[in-house]
Amino acid sequence: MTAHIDELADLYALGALDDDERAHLDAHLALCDICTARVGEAEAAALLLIEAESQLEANSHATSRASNVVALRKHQFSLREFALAVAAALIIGIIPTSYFGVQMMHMSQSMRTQNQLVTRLASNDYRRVAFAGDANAPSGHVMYANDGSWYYIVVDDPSRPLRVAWQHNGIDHILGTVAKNGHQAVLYLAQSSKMDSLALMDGTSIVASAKLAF
Amino acid sequence: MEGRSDEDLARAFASHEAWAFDEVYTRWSPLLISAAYHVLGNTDDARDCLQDALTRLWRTPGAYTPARGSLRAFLAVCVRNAAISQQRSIRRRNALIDRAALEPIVHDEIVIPDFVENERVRSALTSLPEDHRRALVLAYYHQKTHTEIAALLEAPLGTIKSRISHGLRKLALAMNTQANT
Repeated sequence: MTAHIDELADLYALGALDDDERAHLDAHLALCDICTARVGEAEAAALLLIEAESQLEANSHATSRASNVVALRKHQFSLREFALAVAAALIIGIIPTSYFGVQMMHMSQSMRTQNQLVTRLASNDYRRVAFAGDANAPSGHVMYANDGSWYYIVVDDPSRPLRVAWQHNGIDHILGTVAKNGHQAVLYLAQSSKMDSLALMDGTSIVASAKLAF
Repeated sequence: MEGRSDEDLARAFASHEAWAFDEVYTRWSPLLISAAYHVLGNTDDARDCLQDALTRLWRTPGAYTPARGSLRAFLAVCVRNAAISQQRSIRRRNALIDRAALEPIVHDEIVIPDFVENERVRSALTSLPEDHRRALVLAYYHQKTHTEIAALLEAPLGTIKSRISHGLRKLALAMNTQANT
């Protein structure tokens, strides 16, 4: 690579290059001060996004636990210091970390689900069927893979924590509860079964159902 | 090594002074673990990723020079890129996802995700042209490569590179403007 990298600097900083492209770019940077400075600018911009994510869970259980482990590796605490540190961590940490820990788990799960959904919907080999029910039934639909490997349940009313059940052999098998996602509530399921009948349940009452064809 | 500035640490890291390696951990490990965690979704994996990435950087002569700018930004991006590489290796083992990643998707699906909870980022993203925002969201939050994004958005590779590049620069400008007002 002899030409200056220009826009690739921003892709590098965002993680949008594959491993080979990044290795080529690293090799070029070793020889080019102009591009090194350009990548530095892009990294400073990307740091704004990374810091924003980090600030969200500044008090979270995950980060504090991990950083504590790192810190403990580097210092030999006395027993008294260690006991004080544990006590302080318990007092300071329990309430906020339990809250932020849960929030972070939800955020991470949401991120993974969103990513899986985007990629799987991209395959185009899926079907869509609407839920049906009485006049008060929530509107919603199911998108599902032709081979029954995944199901994405969407309910248009995010305020109702409806449960999703597979109606099979006269039994309602509870699969999960839809979770608020913007203006909708959704549930993503990875399955190995072709489920031909799904129901939305409010408590123990079935409020809508959908027949799936394969 | 309290009292040493970030610039002192950057110079020491570049010249392989032993204290710099430990000081990087002490000073920035929460940020760096967080950078990996948001890709990998697991604290233990994130910590391992940080250890591996820093060790690799330390063993690579000239990996960082002060001419690059902020050591903190450099390390955060390096650790995050290492986490993305690890995550992509995992994904490659899933044939369905790998195949799907190369197929076009419905454009309406690419919205600012709900997990972008930081209001400053959300506001800055909203200020971007839609084309730029979509490309940037796919690059950063979905960790797609520019090649994958070009396929997903059915646009030429050069166009996607420009959208991502301009998108990041505009986003940084918007966020820095917010910070100064």
